[in-house]
Amino acid sequence: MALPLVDKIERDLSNGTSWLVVLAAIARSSEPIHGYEIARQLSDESPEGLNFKQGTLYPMLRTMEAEGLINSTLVPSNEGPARKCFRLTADGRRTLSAWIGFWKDTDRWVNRVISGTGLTGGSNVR
Amino acid sequence: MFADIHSHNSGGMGKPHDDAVTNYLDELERALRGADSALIHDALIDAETHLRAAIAAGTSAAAAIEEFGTPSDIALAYFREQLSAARGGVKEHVAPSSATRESTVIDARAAHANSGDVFVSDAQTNVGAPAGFLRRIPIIGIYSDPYAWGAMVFLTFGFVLALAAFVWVMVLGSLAIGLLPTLLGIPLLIVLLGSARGISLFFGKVIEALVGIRMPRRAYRVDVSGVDGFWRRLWLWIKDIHGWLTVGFLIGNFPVALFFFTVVISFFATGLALMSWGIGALMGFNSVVTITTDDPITIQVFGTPYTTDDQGTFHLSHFSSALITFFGFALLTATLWLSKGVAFVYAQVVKAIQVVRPQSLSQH
Repeated sequence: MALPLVDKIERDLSNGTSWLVVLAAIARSSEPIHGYEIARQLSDESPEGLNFKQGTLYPMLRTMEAEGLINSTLVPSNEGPARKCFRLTADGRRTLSAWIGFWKDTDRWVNRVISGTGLTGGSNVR
Repeated sequence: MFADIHSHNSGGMGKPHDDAVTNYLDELERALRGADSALIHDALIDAETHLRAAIAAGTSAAAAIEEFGTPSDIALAYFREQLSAARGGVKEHVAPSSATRESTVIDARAAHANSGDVFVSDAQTNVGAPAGFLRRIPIIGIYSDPYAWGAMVFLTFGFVLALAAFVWVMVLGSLAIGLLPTLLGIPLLIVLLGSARGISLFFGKVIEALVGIRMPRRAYRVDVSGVDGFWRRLWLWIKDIHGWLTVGFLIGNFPVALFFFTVVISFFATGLALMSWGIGALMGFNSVVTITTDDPITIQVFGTPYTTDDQGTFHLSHFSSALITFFGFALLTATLWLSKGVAFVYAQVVKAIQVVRPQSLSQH
């Protein structure tokens, strides 16, 4: 398999899943959460080999807010100026719930199909 | 402005960090070349805020920048946001001109030239989606442009906003200057500068919603974190030129808004009245316009004289009625074009005041 195609697939897949994990990171936070904290958590939890670009988070958050999936408030910070913190809206919660269902279905389907290939995956495919 | 932040930030950010972040922001700006200035403004503030937060949390500048992403990757993410908005896929209505959309696609293509990402072809097929049939008719297609109507609404109701902002700035400004000898005026000046920035940002949001021009989503801030001393922090706020520019805009905006409010309302009302008169006369309702005076009144309609009868009504010929209708329609159409044009210039002025380009970063 040619390397550029793997990169392309990785990028396409990452674009879709990034929205899901960002929404999930906001949903699981008991308090409104700011962009840097979301980025830090997602980077910390991303498995080796998956390269989450923290900077891509901000335009994503802005689009999500415009879509009405999240809303933001300015929260005073001890470390500097007030921070823009995000929480899920009711629409966002419904969307995330539907998305999680779709993700689980997709995960089952893809795993069922690829389990028959005998390949284990990982960076060695490159 | 930002240079002040850097130079005063003793907590955690030494010179190498400053240089690394500044260089990264310069590169990011280059990668975003061709994008909307408001988008560049937002992207640079996002990046700087994030990187500074990461460095303050103990991450090295190099690691923070690596985790943040390469300038081309980040630029692409912002181009995607712009494309998403241009497609109408979001609730906000950002309607760049077709040229802007095309340049966005080209820039996105350039940014992704080496990756072979399907995004480019996807963008090309969706972003250039044709407008409605009415929209494509020259000149009168503007009637189906919601942003032209939005511009007209902005120029009329925007006057109320301009008046409120003017009163606020004048009252608070006068109070602050009057109380300066007692030092109480200084915090009032800070409130004035901060509130002016907030009002300007609100203006931007109204413009974006009604006129469809992307405005900065984030206000730049005068970051005084890490600056020792109450008076030094106050001084940083007071000497911020953008704050004063915003105050100046809110003062100067009032007479301008008043002028355009008058023009738009007058033109719109006159156009509508002429159209109603002409159409009414064409349909045989000459009494649409009735002028009751002791003496008959004579008017000239494109060279043809008409005099009121005993009931004060003009009896127009079909030709004159049609001409009046046409003239009213032309005036309405011109008002829409004028509103759209003026609102566009307005938006550029507000944007220019709000946007802080990284030149100010590298000046120091």
